[in-house]
Amino acid sequence: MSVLESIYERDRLEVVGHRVPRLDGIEKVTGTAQYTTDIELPKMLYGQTLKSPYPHAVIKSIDISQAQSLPGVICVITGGDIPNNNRVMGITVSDQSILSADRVRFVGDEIAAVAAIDEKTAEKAVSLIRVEYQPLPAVFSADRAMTKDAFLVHDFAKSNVGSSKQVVAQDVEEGFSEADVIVEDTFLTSPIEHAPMETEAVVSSYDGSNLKVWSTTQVPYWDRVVLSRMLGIPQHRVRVITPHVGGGFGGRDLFTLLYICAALAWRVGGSRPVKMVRTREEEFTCSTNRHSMQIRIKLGAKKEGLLTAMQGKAIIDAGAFVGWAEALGQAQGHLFASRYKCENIKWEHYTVYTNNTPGGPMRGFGNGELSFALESMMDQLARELLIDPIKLRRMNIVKQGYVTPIGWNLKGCHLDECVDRVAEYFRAKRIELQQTNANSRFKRGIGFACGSHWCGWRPGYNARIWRTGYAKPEELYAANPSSPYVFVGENGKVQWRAGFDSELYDADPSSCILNISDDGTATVHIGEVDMGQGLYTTIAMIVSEETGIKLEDINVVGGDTNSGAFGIGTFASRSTYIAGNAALKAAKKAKEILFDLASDMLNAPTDQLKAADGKIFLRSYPERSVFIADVALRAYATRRGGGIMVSSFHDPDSVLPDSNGKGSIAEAYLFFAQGVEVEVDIETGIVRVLEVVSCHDVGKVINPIEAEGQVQGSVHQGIGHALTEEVIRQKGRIQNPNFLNYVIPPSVQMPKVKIMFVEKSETSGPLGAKGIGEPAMVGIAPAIANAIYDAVGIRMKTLPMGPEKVLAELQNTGSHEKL
Amino acid sequence: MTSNINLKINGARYAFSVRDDETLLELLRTRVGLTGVKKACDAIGECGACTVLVGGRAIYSCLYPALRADGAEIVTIEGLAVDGGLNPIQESFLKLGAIQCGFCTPGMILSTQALLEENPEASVQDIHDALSGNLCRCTGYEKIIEAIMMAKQTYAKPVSRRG
Repeated sequence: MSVLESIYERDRLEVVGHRVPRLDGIEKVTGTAQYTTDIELPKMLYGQTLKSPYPHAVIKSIDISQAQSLPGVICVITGGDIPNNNRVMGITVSDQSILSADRVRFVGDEIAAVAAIDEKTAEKAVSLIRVEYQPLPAVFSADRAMTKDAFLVHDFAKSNVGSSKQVVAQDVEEGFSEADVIVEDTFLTSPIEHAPMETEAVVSSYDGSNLKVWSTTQVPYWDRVVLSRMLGIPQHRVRVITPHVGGGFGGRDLFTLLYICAALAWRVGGSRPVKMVRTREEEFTCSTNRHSMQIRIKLGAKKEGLLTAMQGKAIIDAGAFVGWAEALGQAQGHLFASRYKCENIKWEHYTVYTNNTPGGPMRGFGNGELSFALESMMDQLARELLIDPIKLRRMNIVKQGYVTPIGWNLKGCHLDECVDRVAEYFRAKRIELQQTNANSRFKRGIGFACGSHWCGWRPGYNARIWRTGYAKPEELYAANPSSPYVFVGENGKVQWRAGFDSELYDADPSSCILNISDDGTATVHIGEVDMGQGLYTTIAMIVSEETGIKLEDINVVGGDTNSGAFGIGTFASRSTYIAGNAALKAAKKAKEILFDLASDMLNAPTDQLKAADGKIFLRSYPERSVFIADVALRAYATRRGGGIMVSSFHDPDSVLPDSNGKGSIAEAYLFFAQGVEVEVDIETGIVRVLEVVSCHDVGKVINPIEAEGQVQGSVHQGIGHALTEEVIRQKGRIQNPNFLNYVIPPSVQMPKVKIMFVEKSETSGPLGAKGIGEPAMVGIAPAIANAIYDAVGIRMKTLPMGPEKVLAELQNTGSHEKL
Repeated sequence: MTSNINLKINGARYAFSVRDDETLLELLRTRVGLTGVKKACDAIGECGACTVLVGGRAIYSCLYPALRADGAEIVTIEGLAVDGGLNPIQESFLKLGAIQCGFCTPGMILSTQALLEENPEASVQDIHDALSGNLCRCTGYEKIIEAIMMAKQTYAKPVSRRG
């Protein structure tokens, strides 16, 4: 196809770019949508867990006999009953058990699970389990945990620093020596809770050879791998299904309840389903919270404003287990080095064990915290240099074609346009505000932030841990001498078996299986999950656009591992871009078959055909057409048909980080700029967000309704992160595990959100699209902090920026008196 | 202690023997099978997902004793559709994309229904007030407010559309 023709094609998009109501909308507005929480099955049992009341203790003994003999109790399990209990969780380090057997490391650490005929009996049984604890010294802050005399959270580690890495590009010291101005400061962020409306829910059953799991997961295929490893059941006998999911936001990227419930069902056997649903309190206390961290940033610049050096250091409170924290610290290094053009970079991160609730990934994956620190410092730098903060950003931001010091290859980058559009939007108001603030108790200010994010991510998991749970053959052998993956060589050394030699999981894949039935309707299987963001509608739109099959004739089935369409999961703003590409590839194959058959029927060569609105027709003479339903019938009902069943696999052209941690981890990147207007009440310290403008380089927008929804929802969560949300812990115990005391901003606090999309077609994206899941949450906290500075001249360095902190800061600096 | 109650749910009559401590939420979800009534907090009136209409008034069914509903007419999300079609609020939520994960949606729609039945001229502030007990974690509320403003136009007409 010529370039002109391709533009012509794109201009005539029939479905993509239109405001399409979500395909599961009717079920959702009529209450018929079934969530895992809603599943009730015959002979169902209900599960409950016993949690540690101590932040740190040795388990001296567990006595389950009374619980077991309670009438109505079918099964009680402890860690010892789960075959691979210790090697299931863990992305980079296997330090977490499904049920803790010998030691508990946080309040809420789960020790035993019960399945009983109803919830009340299960609860009663849990209360009858006797555990003898020997409390240990506990540590609740990363700073304290890093000191030499701190008690170790894990014995295998020599210190509480679970991991530390640094990434260096060029010479940061030389960069600072060239600088005319250097700024440096430390920022703190608080743990927050994902708080999806549906709490974690799992239903599982085992018939003696097949394990079935329904759940609220974001990563069904990944769960299948883990379940297979945990119970020694091969993957083809494990089926993970995701019904409607009531939100995720990263909290369901591997969560223990899924495995606990599956282990219970496996022990119960007899196809008896076990159901477990977290209470809201458990959602806060037993499953992960967003990490709290401490970030120090040092920037150096020439007096004209060009950055000469950037140095950053993150100390991440991982909680009781490393989980995703190490990957997150690495990811922050990538983000740190990829928004401003600066060759001299140093980033280091420390993930630190404490006896706090384990941290987990959440929307933005470290970018929100990093941006709070970095974008606040960019503003501070601008003040020092007496340069407008937007101008400073504009002269330093990355541009198309730039390869960042950490290796990101920015093939499609329109950050400059994002910054310009946000600046333009607030231009007049900034001038106006300079005059109106003087004599008011309510001071208004405007702040900005900008940045980059990935669209999918190639992090390089350890493929051997992925498969066996172990990184070293001798460790696996010690645990399981009969494992087929290891053997003892002639030299007596334990080795991986020949052929099992991929150390790194070098892929970021999704796939699609597309079947067109003989009535011309399509079933599209993908591996990723629609957890509310509208992914299935997006996928249907892509398939409809390409094949001409009407939207209502397309059924997208995601997240059922029995479909066989492997996808690594829904996270990292990857689904539209990567699963969308897989769907587009499959649609192209299916279209080829349809066109081949239609070409006979219409007596025209395939390159003169076009498909839209349920028909295939001649481009030059659209009246000459056939229904896709009739073409599809030929595929099945005639000798030469051959059916229409196609599959595809898509792995983006991204690069694994090398031994120095550098590489272009995604094929496409997302860019954004955000601006915020706030009003600070200097009497009370209350900050009100009056308006937000959020501009995003996202490629072609597939469905504006859902893309806007992602921005609006992200901005809402960003405001929560910035101003109201904080999981409050006292000696490791969460004080506010409920919506009364953990404050998600209510509707009345939501400002107007002006959304702008820079819709430059991404050549590697499906029909030009990239992604939008995370970035709109990222810049809100720093933009608000910068707006507060603009309004009242105080630099907020701790999230959330609640009234008491703002007031204290106002009083500290006395700056409001100066105003 | 149990007591016998009679009630009308989504137009159908039911008789139940209920425990004193049984909530309307429990009755509707587990005994009537109306799983459109959701629960997102620990049944302590913090999230609004369990909102239903009792005599046209929006209430938290998690805090409402089933016993108290004796003789009442109850509408859940399953009973809101009119004559096989969507109620105007359902339609505007769908059309404008005021739904993401959908878990808060039934409660949002029912709170709106109670509001617009009572005050078809509801202002944006009235809407915020009416939704102050309904949490949403996905949408940022903006499309929900827009959808309600759109649905409002239908309610402003003199014809009552009570489901």
